[in-house]
Order: sequence, then structure tokens, then C-alpha cells
Amino acid sequence: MEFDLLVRKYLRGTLSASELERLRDMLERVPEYRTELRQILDLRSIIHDDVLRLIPPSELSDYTRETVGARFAGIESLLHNDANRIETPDDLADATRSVVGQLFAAAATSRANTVDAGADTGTDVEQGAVVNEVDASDERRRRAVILPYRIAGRMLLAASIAVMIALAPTALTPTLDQSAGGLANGFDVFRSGSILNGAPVDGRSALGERSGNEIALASVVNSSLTITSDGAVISDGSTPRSTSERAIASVIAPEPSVNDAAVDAPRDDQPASLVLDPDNPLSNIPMRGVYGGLMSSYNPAVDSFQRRQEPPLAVVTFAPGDASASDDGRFLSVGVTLGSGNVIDADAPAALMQNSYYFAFNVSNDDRIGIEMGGSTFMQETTIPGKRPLKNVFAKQDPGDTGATAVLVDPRIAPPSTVRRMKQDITYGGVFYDRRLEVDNKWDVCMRTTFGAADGAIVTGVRAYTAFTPTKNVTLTLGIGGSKLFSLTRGTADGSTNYGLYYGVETGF
Amino acid sequence: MKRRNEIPGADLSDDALFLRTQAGDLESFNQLFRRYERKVYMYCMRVLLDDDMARDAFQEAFMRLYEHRASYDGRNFMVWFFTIVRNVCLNMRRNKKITVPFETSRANENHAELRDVVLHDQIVLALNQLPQNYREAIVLYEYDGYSYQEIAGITGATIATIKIRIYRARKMLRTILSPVVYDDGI
Repeated sequence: MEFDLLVRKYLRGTLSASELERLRDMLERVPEYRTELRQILDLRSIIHDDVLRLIPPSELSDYTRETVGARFAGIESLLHNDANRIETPDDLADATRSVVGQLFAAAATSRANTVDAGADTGTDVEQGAVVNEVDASDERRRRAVILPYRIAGRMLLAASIAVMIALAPTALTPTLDQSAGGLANGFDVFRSGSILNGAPVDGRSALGERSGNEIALASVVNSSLTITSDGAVISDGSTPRSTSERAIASVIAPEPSVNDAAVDAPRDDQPASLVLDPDNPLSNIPMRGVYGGLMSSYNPAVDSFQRRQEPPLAVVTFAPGDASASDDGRFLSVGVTLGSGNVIDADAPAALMQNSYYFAFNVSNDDRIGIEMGGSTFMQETTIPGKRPLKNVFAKQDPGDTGATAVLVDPRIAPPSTVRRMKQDITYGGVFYDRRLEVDNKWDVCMRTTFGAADGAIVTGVRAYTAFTPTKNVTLTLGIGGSKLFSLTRGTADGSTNYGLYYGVETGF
Repeated sequence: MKRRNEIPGADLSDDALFLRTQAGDLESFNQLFRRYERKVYMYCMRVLLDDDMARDAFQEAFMRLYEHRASYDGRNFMVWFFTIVRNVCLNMRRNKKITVPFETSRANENHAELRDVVLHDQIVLALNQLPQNYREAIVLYEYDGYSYQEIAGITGATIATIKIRIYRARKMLRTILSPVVYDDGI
């Protein structure tokens, strides 16, 4: 036992000189003592090597210090304030991160004055600051990517509007190409410096000879239809066409005015065309009123009273209140569309509601272009930052848990961010092209193609629908369609598709 | 690096630091934490012999330090705190049985093969063979560097008992590790 006592003292470094001599004497005399002392020293060496390796991980150390320090510093009450009620472990983690981050912002500056006990103090201490920095840097990267696309999208939209505005004067004042007598700007228009060369005409025949290229036009809505000194005829937009037509007819040719309601069948004695020059391409110009609605059907033999009565002259008017509902004469249409459907590539059925508002400009009888803005739903990849589930770390072990299935959060490892594909509502803006096929005077079948942009993505859409125009200024639409979204911010083809039923209402002027 | 006398709180005892910590002094707590973090970590790692559990015990111990702050009587902070640490480890170990596989026949294996094994893994395996009270005594003595008296205060045993436990723990470790560590002849 004396040997053990001396060895203990020797290991602690508290041997006196006499005790040291006694120990040496014992080691020289008894070989087993030497073996035992050597083994003791070797074991100590192993343990000390192990001690050097046992350094607490910096994340564990910092995390524990911050959390417990926050409690000691008296900010625990803030974590459980009713105003910031902690409902879930995530709430606690968020609140702790935020509060501790603010609190230790000043402590970080004093870290240089403290002794570094060997722990790595280079890592971020304030969890809230770390998260905020991650969020801020992520936001900066996101903006750097999507900002060019936003600018490009807005420039495209502005250019489209500028084009429409530039086209507006032409649309408002259609004219006839004198040389060809054909279409100009998509309209059947007429222009003439002089109708009658000052000479009166009698009847339609004479007038018809000159109608194509010689009749001046009524220019716009609300222009008056009068006979100018040079024989120009200007329509009176405020009066029904039949009236104006009658006025013209009465001036030009003293024949009974054409009664719209009375004409319900072709009359054999009436020429098929009021223009007696069949070779004149203008003599029997089909004036189907479509979107443009500027021209009436030229053939007076059209049967329904709802069809516009053919004027004796090819007079272009913008007179509202035309009998034909489909020939609504709209220049600009405004509409709203609602949609309901599904996102195709969602893991679970993902119903969506979408809406859009649009302005459409008629570029021809059957064609429109416009701008559309709306909201839709797509699946998009979203990055969700990792959170430290604070509560799980301190959770008691389940006595029945054998350990193999225990789920413990390793606080040394920063929770990774996750990328999930989630249903997201997006707002988009774009331009569209609309093509119409007339079925009858009230019904049309249409097709629309849209191209636009959203937040960091391109949106395209196709829609087929029917349009029903019960009254002049109201059109109801119903159809099906789909949209496709291409994300541009993730560098990979991240697309999403939806489809649905679309229904809307449109008006115009 | 600042000298010790330039470091705020460096000359304060553990008791004084904790009293300040109780009053809400964050810097005092930081000082105290840095003094004890490694000792607590080593104790948890070598008593529980399970890395995940040891990390949880590490955090739990400091949380208990806060929760039981009112029970501190102002004396001998180290013994009071390590009693908390010990209880945390005991509770964890009681709730979750840990078995570290160790082949008892390893002493008869080829010495050369055994020497190739990383020593710190062997020390873990060897410590696992010790009884709990022997293991904690040797860890507190060899790893944390506490005296017999301090260990007796932590464990609640007498000094004589602690001496015996440490002696026997050393002897068992020497026997277990002899094929790996020690030379065959001296």
C-alpha cells in the first residue's frame, strides 16, 4: 500500500525528497513494482491522448451557451410572451433565434476579449443573424436572376402597348386603297376625293359606277352623313344605318328607302349587288362584321332582319346600335375571365382558381391582339431554410426506446435547406393573339394564345372558347384551356402545367 | 491574446461567477461556461460512451444548471454543478441501456492485430467494461483532473472509497488494455 501511496503522490507531483528516494528503492528492489508503474504511466498516456481529442464541437458549445445564456440573461420571458405565443417547436426556435441573435450581437464584439478555451469561435453565434444573412444573400441572388427577366417582360409589355397605340389611328380611320380598291389595314375602306364629280347622279346605277373609289367616307363614330359640295358622303353615326342609308338613298337616288324589317327574302328584281360593276372588286365586298364590325354585309339579299341591311353605297360607318349583335363594331374590348381547374403535375390534386383581365384591340375582322394580366396557380420549387428544432434537443428519452430508432437532432450540424415543389399562386402579365371564327351573328368560336411573364418565369397559354353576344355590348365567353410556366431562376427546366374551364364576360366600345 | 488579469472575470472564482450569472450577467455565464464546457463534455463522453447521448447530456446539464439555479447555496459551485451533470448522465443511462460490444477474448488475440486498432477506440471499449462507479471515478480523476475530495463530494462517496475505486479501475484498464498497449516485457 505504501507503493500505491507513493505512486499517487508521484503522479500528482507532490512527492517529497525522502518519499522519492523510498520509491526509487522500491522500484529497484521489486521488478513487479517497475512493471506496475510503467503500466500506470502508459495508461495515463493513453488517457491523456484521449483527453486531447475530446473537444466539444463548436456548434454544440455555441448553441448551448447562447441558449442557456439567454435564459440567464432574463430574456426567457420574451420567448413565452403571450403576444408571441409559442405554439410549436418551430415557433420556439424562431423566437429564440430572433431574440438571442439580437442579444448576442453585442456579445460577439466582446468575444475577442475572452480567452479562447480551444473552441472554434469563428462560426456565427447569432442564429438569427445567420438565418437573416442566409435569407438576405439568397434574396440577392434571386433578384439578380429575375430582375433582367422582369425588365424584359415589362419592356415587352410596353412595346405591345406602344404598337397598339400606334395602330389606333389607322384603325379609327380606315381608308380605301385607291389604287387597288382592295383592303387597306384589313378593312374594306373607301376613299375618294370626289364622289360624283359634282354631277348629280340618279339612282344607284350611276352611283355604283363610282362607288368603289369615289365615295368619301364617314370617318368615325358620330360623324355626320351629309353630302358635301363635292358630293362626298359622310355618314351620320348617330342615326341608324338604315336611316342614314335612307338619307343617302334619298339624296342620291329618289327611291324608297330600304326597310330593314321588310326585307326578308331576296328579291328577284333587285340586283345582287347594288353596284353595277361586277368587275369592280369593291362592288360586292363581303362585309362580314366580326370584331371590326365596320362593314356591313353588302348583299342586300341577306334575309334576316338582324343582318345589317346593305347600304346602297359602300359606306363605312361606326354607327352603334347596328342590328347585328355580332357586328358590334368594337374597337376596344375589355374583358374578365375566371377559370377553375387543376395543376397537372401536383403530387396531390391541386385545384386552382385563376383570373385574368384583358384589353383587346381589333386588328381585323377576325383577329385581335391584346394585353392580359391575371393570376394563376402552378407548381414551383421553393427553398425552405432549415430550422433548428430547439425543443427536440432537450426532449426526454423514451424509456422504451432502445436507441436504434431514437431520433436525436445533432446540433453540431446546421439544418439543411430543403427544396420542395409546392403549389404557388403567381401573377402574370402578357400579350395575346385572338382569332375568331364566326358561327352566326351571335355565336363565335375563338382561340387565344397568350405569352407573358411572371416572377422569374415565362407563362404561355392556349385557350379555345365560344363567345355568345346576346346584346351589342356584352359578350359571354366559355371555354377550356391550359397554361404552362417555365421557371427561369433555377437554371433547369422547371415547368408546371395547369388546365381548366374558363368563363368570362367582355364588353367593348 | 490578453493576459489573464486583463480578462474580465478571470480572477473570479466559480462561485462568484455563478452568483453574477444568477443576477443576469451574461458575460459571467460565458466565463463560467468556458471553464466547464470541456470538463462536462469529457465526462459525458466517457461515462455514457455514446456520442449522441453525450451531446444531449451536455446540453441537458447546462439547461439543468439554469433550471436548478435557485438551489445553489453559494458554495462549491464545481461540486454542485457536477452533481447535476452526474445525475443527468445517470438518468440517461438508466433510461437507455447502452452496450458497447467488447470481445472479452480480445486479450488472447494476436497482439499485432490489436495494436493496429486506434487506441482511443480501445479506451472506450475498455472503459465500458468497468463498473459505472469505477468508470466515473477514473474519468473524474484522470480526465477532469479532480481530487479525491472533490470526486467524493460529487459522487457522495467517501474519499477512501474513491481511492479504492480509482485504484481498481486502473488495474482493470491495465489488464484489459495490456495486449494492446503494454510491451510484453519490461
